[in-house]
Amino acid sequence: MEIIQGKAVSGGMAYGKIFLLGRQDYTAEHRQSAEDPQQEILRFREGCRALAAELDVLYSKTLEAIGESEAEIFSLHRMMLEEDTFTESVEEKICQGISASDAVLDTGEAFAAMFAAMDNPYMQARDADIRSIARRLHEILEGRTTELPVFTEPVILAAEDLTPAQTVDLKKDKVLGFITARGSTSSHTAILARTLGIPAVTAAGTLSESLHGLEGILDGEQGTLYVDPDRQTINRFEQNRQNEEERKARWETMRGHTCRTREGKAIRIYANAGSLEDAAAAAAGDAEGIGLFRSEFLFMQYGRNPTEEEQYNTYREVLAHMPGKEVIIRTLDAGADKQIPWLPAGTAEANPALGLRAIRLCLRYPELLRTQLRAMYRAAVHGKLCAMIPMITLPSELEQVHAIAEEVRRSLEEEKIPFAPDMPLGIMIETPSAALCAGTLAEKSAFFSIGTNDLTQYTMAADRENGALTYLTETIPESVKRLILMTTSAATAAGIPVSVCGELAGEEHAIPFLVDAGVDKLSVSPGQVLKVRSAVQRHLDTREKAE
Amino acid sequence: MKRIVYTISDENGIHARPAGKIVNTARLFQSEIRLILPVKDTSADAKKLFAVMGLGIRKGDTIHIEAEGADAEEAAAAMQNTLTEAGL
Repeated sequence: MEIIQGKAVSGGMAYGKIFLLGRQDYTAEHRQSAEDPQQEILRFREGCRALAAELDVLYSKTLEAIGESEAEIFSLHRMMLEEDTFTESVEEKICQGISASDAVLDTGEAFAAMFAAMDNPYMQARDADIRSIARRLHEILEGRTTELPVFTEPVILAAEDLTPAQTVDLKKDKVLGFITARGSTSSHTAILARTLGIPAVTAAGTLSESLHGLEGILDGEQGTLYVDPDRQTINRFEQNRQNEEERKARWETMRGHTCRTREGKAIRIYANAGSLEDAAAAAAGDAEGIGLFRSEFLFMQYGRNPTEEEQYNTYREVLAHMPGKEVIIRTLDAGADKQIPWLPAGTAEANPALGLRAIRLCLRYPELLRTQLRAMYRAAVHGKLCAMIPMITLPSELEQVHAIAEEVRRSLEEEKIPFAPDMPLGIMIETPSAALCAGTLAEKSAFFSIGTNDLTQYTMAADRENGALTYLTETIPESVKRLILMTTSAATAAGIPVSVCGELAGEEHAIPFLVDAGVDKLSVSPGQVLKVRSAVQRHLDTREKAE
Repeated sequence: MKRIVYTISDENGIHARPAGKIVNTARLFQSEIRLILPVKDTSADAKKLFAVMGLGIRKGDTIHIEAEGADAEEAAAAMQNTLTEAGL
């Protein structure tokens, strides 16, 4: 057994064959000279455009699959690519007679060296970002691809280094974990590995080619790769896996199960989704419906406002993943932390979280809402689609929404287009004002869905992402509990269902409170459905025993 | 000219992603905006990403942001806001 020690960047263990990714040669040894610098500059700019487009795709893909702050890596890469200091330096080199491909590599190395020389370890790690942009651009100019090979069996990937773009693309069933010779714990690749839950080790020094094809156990917690592991190490791994599997098996018994209170009220576990892939994952994860379908991704995907037809087709596809089950689609929730660059909600506001966002934006520009509601009413013919309005603060906003919905229904009728006039229209309760007005709002809502992330942020006047303020937002603050109880009791009085679609719904410590508060549905990420159902059932069992 | 003074409290200083946010905000304004790090006697154009990252601003550093131009007031306010929001 050989032990390779690197830096632990993402926990978990993996056992499988090691696949050594062939080293790519980026040294500009075979210097090509540029015969026509003018032509080379055009070629370089063309390459930049291609890479910018590629980074945009990665951005939206990561935004959907992982989240905003991870996606920012790629918008940052795009900014770096478009910096005049970078482009000017490349073009200057081209004018000196160097080919575009070589000029890109040289400039990338020069900037990387500048970062590596800085005295802040975090900034030093940025050399990897600039290098990965330069190398990818080089490949585009040379007509090469960086796509990872197709693995026929699950592997532990060993590589010189992986770019963030490659990491996002790692398929979890095929890549059990990875180890890189270079890299750091604060690289963007490392951050992505942690978010994706892939065991990973970096900065392992040289990885020899003889590793390829050997068996290995990767311990992402300790930062260790055991090559050709001995019995004892294998046993340790097996024990670890067994514990994990037992937990999963317990959750698996919850498949097809419906949690019911002693009175017979069902507590259903739905899934949140932000893309068609998520909708498929929700079905595979045994979700009893989709409790929050984020329609923002459609806008990101098209890079403009999607047409009614495009929205209609997508909503139908979502419904097709959930036959006979409820699909709650949230109307556009742009603004604040979800910026859609071309919409007039934005960074120009002094305080976007308290600004023109979500339904406020849609009421200011009602065409957005009209198009979306038309698409929803039409798609609702094909399944149990519900429309959900985010960020309602006052009953008058809901009245405006109903007026637009009414208008939409009338025009669909006049145009003789098939639609479902009785599509339920519900709202999110995510501002303290909405919770306090829940009684009035319930009269005009088919259902409530509590968005605990925003409700907590707006109640506590504290940003959840702000590490210094966790004492205000962790667990469930008493004031937020009261607002949740006001919401559920208003809903019960009006006879409408309440769901919870914020992160709280997936946190085990919060489940007893939410169930006791009387919620009807918890909507969580697709992979958490069975785990949450198991926690709900456990709580109901305990409660029954106590009764 | 409008100047604001800000002390960085983020563990990593002004690191890459916040630098991107700063630059994005700065580019929304006509004013010339400079980020100044008096302790090292250096400064950078807030509209240039590498320049901002290159300052290597760390936790505890006090920086000055100076905006000069027609929309200097708004620019300075927006910059302050971006810094606060990014948790810097």
